[in-house]
Amino acid sequence: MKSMISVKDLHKYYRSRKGDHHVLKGVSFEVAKGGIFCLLGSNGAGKTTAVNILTTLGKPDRGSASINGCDVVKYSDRVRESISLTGQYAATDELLTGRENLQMIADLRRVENSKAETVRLLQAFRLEDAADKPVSDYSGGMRRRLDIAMTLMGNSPVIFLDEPTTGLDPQNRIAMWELIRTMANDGVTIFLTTQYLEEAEQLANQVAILHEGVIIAQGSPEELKQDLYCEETDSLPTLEDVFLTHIGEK
Amino acid sequence: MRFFSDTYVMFKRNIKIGFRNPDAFGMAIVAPFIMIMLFGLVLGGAMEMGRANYVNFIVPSIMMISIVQSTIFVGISINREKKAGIVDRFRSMPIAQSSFLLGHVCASVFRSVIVVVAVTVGAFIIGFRPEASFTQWLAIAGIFLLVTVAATWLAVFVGLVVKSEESASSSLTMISLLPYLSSGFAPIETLPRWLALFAEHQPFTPVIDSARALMMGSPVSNSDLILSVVWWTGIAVVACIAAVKMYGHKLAK
Repeated sequence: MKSMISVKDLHKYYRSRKGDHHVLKGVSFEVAKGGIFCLLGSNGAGKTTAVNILTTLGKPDRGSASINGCDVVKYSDRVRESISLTGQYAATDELLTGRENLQMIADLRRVENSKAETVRLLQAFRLEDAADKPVSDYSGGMRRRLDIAMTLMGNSPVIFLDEPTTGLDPQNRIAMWELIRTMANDGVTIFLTTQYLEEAEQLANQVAILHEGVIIAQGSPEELKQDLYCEETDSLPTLEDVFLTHIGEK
Repeated sequence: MRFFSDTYVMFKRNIKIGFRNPDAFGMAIVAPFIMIMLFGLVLGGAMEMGRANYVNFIVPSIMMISIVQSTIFVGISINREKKAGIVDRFRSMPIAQSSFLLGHVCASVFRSVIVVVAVTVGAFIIGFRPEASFTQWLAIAGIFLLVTVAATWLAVFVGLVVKSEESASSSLTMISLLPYLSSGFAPIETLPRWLALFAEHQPFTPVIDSARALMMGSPVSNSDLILSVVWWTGIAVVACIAAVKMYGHKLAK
C-alpha cells in the first residue's frame, strides 16, 4: 500500500549561542493510509520538531519528508491542502464564540455548507449548548474539544495531533481516545504524538519510539511486545517494558 | 481571489475581537482625553500663550500619542496568538500566508482611526478650536494615516519579536512616550540645548509641526511635510518588511 506520510533520514539542528543542538538525528518512518500512527517519546525527544517539519512549520536541515506524495519543503502549499494540525495548546480565539471559531476556519478552508458543517461539529463535540458563548467561558476540556473540531473542519485526509491529551483529566482523556478512534474509522490518517505509553497501546496501529532524536523501535504494539517475549515466564511485556528496555533505563 | 477573501476573513476576526475588548478600546480613547484635560486645562492656564492657545498647541502631539497607544493592542494580540499556537494553526493551513498579518494591520488601523476621531471630538469639547479648511483637513488625515500605518506595522513586528505580552506592551508604550520629547508641548527654542537637538531630529516633530500649522490654517513648511512623509514612509516600509520576514522565516521551527 502506498504510504501517506514518508520520512527519510530527517535531521534537524537548533542553533544557539551555546552551540548546535542536534534534535533529530536521522529519523525515518512510513505511515500507511488510514489508521493511527503514534510517535512515542518523553519530553524533549523531538516529537514536536518532527510534527513541525511535517506540517510545514519548520524545515529539515537534512533528509526529506512527504505527505500524500508531496514534498513538505518544495510543495508546502499542496501539503497544507491535505493536512490539519492540533498543536500542544488549544489554539482557539478566546473572545470569539465556539460557533464563530468554527465558522472562521470553514471560511478559510472554503467549506461548502459551512453553517451546517459548523452545527454538525458542534453537535459531534457536545458543544451545542455553549456554541454562542465566548471561548473564555469554556472549561479546559471544552476548549480542547473545540480545538479538535476546528482541526476536523474541512475533512483533511491527514490529521496531526501533538500531545492531544496532555493536561486533560482522565474523563476527558478517555473521551478524546473515543474521538480519535472514531476519526480513524472514518478513514482519516492520524499522526499522534504522546508521552503516555498507555495511550499508544490503546490507540495506535503503529508505534515509533523516539528517544533523543533517534527512532529506537517501531512496529505495531504487538510486534514491539513480541520482541521482548519472555519464554521463562511465558509472558508478554507491557509497552512500558519495551520502552524502558529500549531507552536502556531498566 | 484567495488573497482578498482570506484577508477579509482575518480582518473580520480581528475587528470582532477588538470590539469585544472594551477595556483596551475604552482606555485608548479615555487616556488621551485626560491628557488633553491635564495639559490643556490644568497646565495651560500657566502658559504664556494662555489656556485656549495651549489646547490648540498640544492637540497634534496628543494625537501622535493616541495613535501609538492604540497600536499596543495589536502587538499584544499577535504575541499572544504566537504563543497560543494560533499562528501555527494558520501557518499550516492552505491560506494566503500574508492574510494573517494584513488582517491584523487593517483591523488595527481601523481601530486607530476611530480612536483618533473620538479624541478629536473630545478635544473639541474641551476647547480645541481648529481653523483648517477642508483641504487642510484632508492633508492632516493623510499624514495621520501614514503615521498610523507605520506605527501599526511597528507594533506587529514588536509583537512577533518579543517573548511576552508584557514586553510587547512596555516596548510600545516607550515609543508612545517619544512625542513628549518633541516640539509637541513647548516650542523647541525653550528646551535645553541637548534635548532640543533630539527633539528637532526625531520623527514625530515634523508631523506635529505640519499638523499644527495645518490645523491653525497657517502656512506649512514644505521641509516639514517632506520630512514627515520620508520618515514615516521609511518606518512603514522597514517595519513591514521586518514583520513579514519574521513571520515567514524566523518563526520557522
